Amino acid sequence: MAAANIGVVSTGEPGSSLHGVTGRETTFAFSVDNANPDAGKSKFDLPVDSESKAKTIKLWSFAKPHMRTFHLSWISFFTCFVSSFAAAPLLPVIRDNLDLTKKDIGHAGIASVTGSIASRLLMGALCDLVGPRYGCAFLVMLCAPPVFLMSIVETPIGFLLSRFFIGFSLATFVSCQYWMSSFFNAQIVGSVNGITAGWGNLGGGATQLIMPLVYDLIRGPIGSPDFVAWRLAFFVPGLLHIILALSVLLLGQDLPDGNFKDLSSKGSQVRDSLSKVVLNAVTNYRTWMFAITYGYCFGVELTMDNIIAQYFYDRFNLKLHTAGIVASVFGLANLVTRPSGGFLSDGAARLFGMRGRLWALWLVQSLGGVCCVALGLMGSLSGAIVMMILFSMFAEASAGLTFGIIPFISHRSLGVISGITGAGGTFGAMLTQLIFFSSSNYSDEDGIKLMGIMIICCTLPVLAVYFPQWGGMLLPRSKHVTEEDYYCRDWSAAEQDEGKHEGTMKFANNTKGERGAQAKKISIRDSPA
Amino acid sequence: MWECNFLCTSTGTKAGADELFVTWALSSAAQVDDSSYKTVELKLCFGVPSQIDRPWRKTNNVLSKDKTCGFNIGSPQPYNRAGNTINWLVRKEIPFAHYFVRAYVLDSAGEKVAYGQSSNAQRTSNLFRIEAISGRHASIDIAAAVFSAFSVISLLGFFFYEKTSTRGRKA
Repeated sequence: MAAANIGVVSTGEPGSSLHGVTGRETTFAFSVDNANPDAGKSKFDLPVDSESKAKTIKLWSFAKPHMRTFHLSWISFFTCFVSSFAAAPLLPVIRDNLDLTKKDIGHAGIASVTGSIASRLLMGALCDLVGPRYGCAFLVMLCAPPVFLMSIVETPIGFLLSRFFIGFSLATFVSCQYWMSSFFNAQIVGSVNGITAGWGNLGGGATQLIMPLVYDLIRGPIGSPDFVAWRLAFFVPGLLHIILALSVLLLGQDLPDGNFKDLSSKGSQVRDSLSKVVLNAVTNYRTWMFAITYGYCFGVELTMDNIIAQYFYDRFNLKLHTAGIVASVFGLANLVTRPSGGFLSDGAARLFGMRGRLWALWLVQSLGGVCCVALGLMGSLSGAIVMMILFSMFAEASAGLTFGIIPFISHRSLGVISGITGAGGTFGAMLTQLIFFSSSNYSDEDGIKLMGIMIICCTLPVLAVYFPQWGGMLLPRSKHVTEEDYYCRDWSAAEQDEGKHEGTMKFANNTKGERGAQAKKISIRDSPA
Repeated sequence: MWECNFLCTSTGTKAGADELFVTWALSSAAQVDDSSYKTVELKLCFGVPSQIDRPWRKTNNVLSKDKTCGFNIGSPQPYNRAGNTINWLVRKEIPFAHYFVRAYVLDSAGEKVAYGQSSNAQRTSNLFRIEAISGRHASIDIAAAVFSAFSVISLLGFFFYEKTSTRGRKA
């Protein structure tokens, strides 16, 4: 069995770096491979398909090349989250050392996520050019100097610049997904990408534990003054960057069969026009609806990673490392919450089709907004912790639910739409911090309440999303539109005459399950063998 | 009611190095019953210029929520009418800010019953500066520079090594 167009060696198809993000890219079987007696005979530790992509995953293994790459990939992404949010739990010390105002802190928090908007868009091109191994290693290694720079800053500007450049490293999300799409078969790449995305986001929570711990160790047993200890603490993420980048270079490889430079690439793609793919993506209103809503689940998660430790320290008078432990729970919940969102989306689809997915997303994300408002209202520590946990579950599950819907917006422009949605996420983080957490107009607790209201408002766009072949939240499907009609609208008549839309036709046929339980009454043709 | 005096230098008091010289006494003009006054706590407090846009140092009339006075100057002293003085070495964790000194008087139950401060009531005049340590050391600077250089050089080194070894193989 072969996967058609995921992670095929560097042909630079627009958006190809984000194939596999959603795991719903079509899988086609080529009969010629069935005739090949050597297919399936694997020199690898795991069973593979004809492109040497693994068909299963063994989480506890580090065997070359698949599982080793899996672990290198998610651990580098995790490390970048650790360093990007490393300043957050130490803010009570840093703000005294550098004489920061609330505005300075807010601007630095915004800077920490802004850099990644551009870097995520550029990372795809970099991976296409030099391969995910170098793409990942480049980014992780070159973001090490800004982490060391943090140890020597003395002014608010220095602090902001350092956080800005460290934030570029969040683009390892793209290299991670690209790398996984090259190593794992389409049937499981969705789960694999969900696990790596979730475990990478864990870093935002883990850092709230790691940094105060290191700080306390340097302050206590080693006896350094506070303002020296936090600077030394930053050497830990810095060294992690160097170690991970070296590991990726020494132990990693671009593809299961070797590195880009060692293999001659044989892509047999229909090369699509970049401008048409992008135009198709930006003219579909659903892209923008979900870019907004993703900004208020994933974006809000990034905002919380930046502000929550300081919030608990200031409002409840906790010690620094206690505030860090409480704050870390928010990010650590990603271990299970994000994948759960994906499972919930699939479950809702089995019963109610796409309408179920939309309802599930709207409900879960709006409930997250309610919990956020409640968090701001809670005056007791235990109440605030409970609300924070509930909020984390709903917000992070919404991120998983969103990517349960994205693949159905368009077949032709899936990669670009995924990229725009991802950028919308970090944009939401930037906007929220700008409005609510960088001036003294709002106290932090008011900021959190208002952020909750904004979440509820910015989830309303889901109500406007309508798929003519399946319906929307409020309106049923229109009877005369089929899946093929909807998806082939992406191709002009001239392009259809050339047969460029054939892949889309097959994809459209495979999406009939999104009609919901009634789809069982419709016979679905199997994919051509 | 109270007088609180201190000595300050024009360049600011250096944390970790200089000392603060604090004198307090019951003002001669005060007509109060001081029989309940038992101990005096001296505190280092933030002046208004250092509270602007820093809500974690906010003044609140409810004492349990007040964050103006973050640091103790020495340990609590027994109260006496004539007053007392203290020489206090400014600790290294004191941040850069404009400060004043406040003295709280406690009764035998530990409740605050009176106070005096070195600034005016609005906390805007008669403030002094403390120059904090930066926390930087030459060794930290050198280590950061070395590791940063290592990261860039090792990456470029790998890249060019693998590029030339491929070329060599193809040749």
